[in-house]
Amino acid sequence: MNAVVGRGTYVKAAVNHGKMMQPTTDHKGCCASAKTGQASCGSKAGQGDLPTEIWEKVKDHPCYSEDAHHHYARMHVAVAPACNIQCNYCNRKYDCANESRPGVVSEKLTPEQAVRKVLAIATTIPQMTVLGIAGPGDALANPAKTFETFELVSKAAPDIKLCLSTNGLALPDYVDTIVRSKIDHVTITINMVDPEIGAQIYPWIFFNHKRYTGIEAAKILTDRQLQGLEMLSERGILCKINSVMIPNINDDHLVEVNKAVTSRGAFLHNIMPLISAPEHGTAFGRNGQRGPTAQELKALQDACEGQINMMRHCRQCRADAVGLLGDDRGPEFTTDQVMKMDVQYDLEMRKAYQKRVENERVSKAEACQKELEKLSGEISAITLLVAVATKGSGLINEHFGHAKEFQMYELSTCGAKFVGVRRVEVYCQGGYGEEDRLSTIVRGIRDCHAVFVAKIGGGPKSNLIKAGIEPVDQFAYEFIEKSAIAWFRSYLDKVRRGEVQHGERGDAAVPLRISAA
Amino acid sequence: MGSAATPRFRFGSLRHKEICVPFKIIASQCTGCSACEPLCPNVAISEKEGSFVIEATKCTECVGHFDEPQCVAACPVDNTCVVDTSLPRYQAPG
Ligand code: SF4
Ligand code: SF4
Ligand code: SF4
Repeated sequence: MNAVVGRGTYVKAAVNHGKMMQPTTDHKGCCASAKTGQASCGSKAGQGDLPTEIWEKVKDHPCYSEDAHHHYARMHVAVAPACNIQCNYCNRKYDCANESRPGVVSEKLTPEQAVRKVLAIATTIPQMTVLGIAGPGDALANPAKTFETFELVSKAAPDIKLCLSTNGLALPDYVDTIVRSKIDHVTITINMVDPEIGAQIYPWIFFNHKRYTGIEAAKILTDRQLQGLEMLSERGILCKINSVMIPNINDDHLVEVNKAVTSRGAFLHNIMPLISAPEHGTAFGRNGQRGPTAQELKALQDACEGQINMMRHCRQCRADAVGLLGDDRGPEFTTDQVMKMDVQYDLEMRKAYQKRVENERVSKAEACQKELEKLSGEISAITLLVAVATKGSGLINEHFGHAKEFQMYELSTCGAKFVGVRRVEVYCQGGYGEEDRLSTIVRGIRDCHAVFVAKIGGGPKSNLIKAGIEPVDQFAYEFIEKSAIAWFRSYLDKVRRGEVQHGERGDAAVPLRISAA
Repeated sequence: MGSAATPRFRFGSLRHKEICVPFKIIASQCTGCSACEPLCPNVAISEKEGSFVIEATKCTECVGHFDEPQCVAACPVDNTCVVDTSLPRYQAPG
């Protein structure tokens, strides 16, 4: 695991720090993270300290605002199959692994098919506010198809926000086109700013009609990525940076990457775990390169937080994903079905729906704020993790057995902070849970003290209790943050009265299982 | 690149083009990603049933246009755009 001496030291240190953090850490400073707009309740429904003109751009974008992702949906259209670089974690039989989970293949669309699909989905799912082009290859390695799709969509559905994802190699050449196309969000995958590290991640790039390899390739790539980021920032386009955390290759280094992108005006940094298995047929999969554990990932994300928002709700969506993050409805909208649908684009209906969503967000924030006030007198150094089964809208509204994923919240006297998502395979099918799947879930959330659910069967309940995780179902269908804070207060009470011995929990595996959705 | 084993023909360019097919795409390996298609200076590449093909008479190995055959340099799958050894190599006219 630590084959490369000298590498990985940062993460080990950070993990140790993470362990210490729970009972003893100096508690001050935790509230400072409320500044990022991701902590506590998302006062003002998530705006936090953001300037209003930026908040306007992100408030209904599920990827750029953690709060929005509970309420709004995005869709990707797979119009861009070609790519201009090779990444060691990508098998090009499948979709781009920067934006998608490995081993996933999307149905390729022409720009005309893509627009029809967008309109059909905008009508069926009125909370769909964002269209992204993220592959299956690189959006800017297919400029004609990408920009034609955007142009057609902005004519037909002007209220939909446009965003694109790229590895950055071609970015400087298209900045002006991006501005002209009214694209207001761009994601760049940046895994390194040091070509020597880059050479271990990228075997080659295709640039200026030539194939480059090794350090030379990585140097060109990093120069182009950073140049593109600077150009976009100057033009006021919000940039999200994706980085894949590859233990012993770029894990320590991502702190440098974080600084480099922050100083060039990036808005959001999304550090994702490498997902690597031999059956994916990638270079890393074949040579046994492992991905990070949940705690290593969180430690790195925590270390990078401060100057820039860290995205922790990324689902590594597929290039044709549709719906709320974590709830892919793509399979409902195959090309055949979309072509058959009779679509009437109804802007007014969409606006009315979104207004209702906004009201819901405000009441959610208010409920949380009230609960938080009750916590204000408490002094305790306890920080712990809980998992929540939810289908969205910021509510505890999913049955334990049906949950495809759990949202993770860190609780402390500062409130409830969203810190990530754990995907698990649905273990309960047709009413019967399978033992081994249940234990996979328990392993996936074993660093949690409690799991909040709308409902849970007797079997799983006793299994969780045995594993030391408290199943909590008395807050069914209530707001997540408010309920979590209420539970945390009573937990602190029990600890104070000596009814509960507060202890730390171990590390959890990042669930590697890739479900078909 | 020029392999001595491959016979070279020095005919008039027109006639020559009719008999040369230097590069081909191995269909079973092609992912259909389309990366090669817009790069070909001779518009020799097109899609056929989900995979891409090089049109026999159009490929010039990129000679005179670029230093490397573009389809080979851009293709993500090694040994997918390959020299068709059953056919003579292209020789630049003149
Ligand atoms: S940029 Fe995306 S498609 Fe291209 S090689 Fe990397 S992961 Fe694969
Ligand atoms: S070698 Fe050059 S000319 Fe021939 S098919 Fe490939 S890109 Fe076209
Ligand atoms: S670049 Fe290679 S894999 Fe892609 S379409 Fe061309 S031949 Fe097929």
